[in-house]
Parts: sequence; C-alpha cells; structure tokens
Amino acid sequence: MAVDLTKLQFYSGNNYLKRSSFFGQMNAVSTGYDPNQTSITHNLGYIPQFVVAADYQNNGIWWANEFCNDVRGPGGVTNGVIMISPSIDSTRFFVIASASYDGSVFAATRPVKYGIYLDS
Amino acid sequence: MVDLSKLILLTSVNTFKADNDVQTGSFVLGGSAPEMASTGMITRTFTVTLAVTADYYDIMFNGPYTTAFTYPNWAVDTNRWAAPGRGVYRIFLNATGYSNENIGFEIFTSLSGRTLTITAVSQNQFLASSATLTNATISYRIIPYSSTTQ
Repeated sequence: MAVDLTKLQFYSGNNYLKRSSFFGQMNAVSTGYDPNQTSITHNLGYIPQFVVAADYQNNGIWWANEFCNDVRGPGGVTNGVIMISPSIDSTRFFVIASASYDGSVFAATRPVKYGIYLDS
Repeated sequence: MVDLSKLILLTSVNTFKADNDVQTGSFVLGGSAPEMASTGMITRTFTVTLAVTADYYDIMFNGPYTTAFTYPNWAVDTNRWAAPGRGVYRIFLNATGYSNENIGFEIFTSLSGRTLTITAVSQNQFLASSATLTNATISYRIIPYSSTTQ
C-alpha cells in the first residue's frame, strides 16, 4: 500500500523526544538533612533528556516541579521540606532526597516518577 | 525522492519540535556574598541570546553537583546534568572568610524573545561577615523547541 504523503507534516532528523524504555517509578528516601541518593541504570552512553515528578507530601498529588511546604523551625518543628534533586549522567539517573531539618521526623520515603528520553 | 530513513512519525497534529540548534555555553557562579543583614538573598543573573527563535525550550546544567555533605569539602560529581524546575539543583559553593561555610544555589530560567535569563539564587546565611565564594563554572545546554520550525 502506498504511503499517504498528505498526512506527512514533517520528516526530518530532528529530535522529537522519543521515549526510552526507562519510564517508571522509584522511591526517594530522605533520612534527614544529609542527602540520600538512589539511582537507576539506563546505560545509554550519553546525557539524555528526562522528566520527573514527585509526590512530595505522599498524598497522591504529583508535582512536576519543585515544591515547598511550611517550615516551623527548630523547637517547634512539625513540618518541613523534603527536597528532591534529580540528575543524570551517561549511565544512571539519580534522585537525591534530603530534608530541611534533621531528625527522624523527616525520615521519609517519597515516590518519584521518571521518564528518560532517547534524545540528548 | 523522500528519504524514509528520516521519517520518524506521521501526524497532522502540530507538536513542539526540537530543533537541531542545540546551544551550549557556560557562566561562572561565585563572587562575594555580603552579610545577611544587608542582603537576604544572593542573586546571580546571566543572559544568553538564543541563536533561533523558540516557542519553548529545555535547558540542562552541569557543574560541581553536590552529592553529599562531607564538611568542609563537599562531595561533588562533575559528570551530572540536571534541569532547573525539576527539583533542587545542588550546587554548593565553599565560602572562604566565613569558617569554610557553604551555600547552596537554586537555578531558574525564563525566556523573553530570544533573551534567556538564568537566575541563580541562594538564601544568605552569613550572619556576621561577608564571604568570598569559590567560583564554579556552570555549563548549560539549551534545546529550543518550535511549533513551526521543521
């Protein structure tokens, strides 16, 4: 069957954010103020683009950017910020979790969704 | 003749297309930081003129990415790239003159016309005296997207 070229809006070698097989969910584990890192291996051999979203409050709301909640300070700390820091190198995708305040109250696990594209 | 090796998808729907005009460069983050009483925020601003007009863009940064606090010299990984807005960008600069303290920067970007502004912000923590920050070269990689450019 012949290709219907009327449906062809573009064709080129440009990037189109092609998905890799590395789309999934992982856990960011905060142990307090000191950063704690988890990673997955992609082994693409170059720096790919990625997207990431995190459930900072563990309540089913996913944030595709940074998130801050209130900090009430040492002495009256009942809440704090769990910071999620995603980064990537040529073989692995990393998520670092840390808390704005130390102590077991900020030891927390937060789910992170990630997507790695084939495009560099 | 149509080169089908270049055929990636068929669609009549417009999409943001990443041009091949990937733009790279770098800037130096550092300088001096005054005491907190005079400035609550330490802000560094850099501008980049895009080579092409873009509707949208993606940007990634590479520098001394801080992976662990190992006072007084922080563990860094210079092979990592991170994207602002997708979490905290972990650059911590040592600050001499203030007991080798450190400050962490977050990086934000915006685009107006072809002028892309990179803003690095840190909350000032220096209570009693100013400090000199250890300079760090931050590389960037900008990928412009266009809904019209093919």
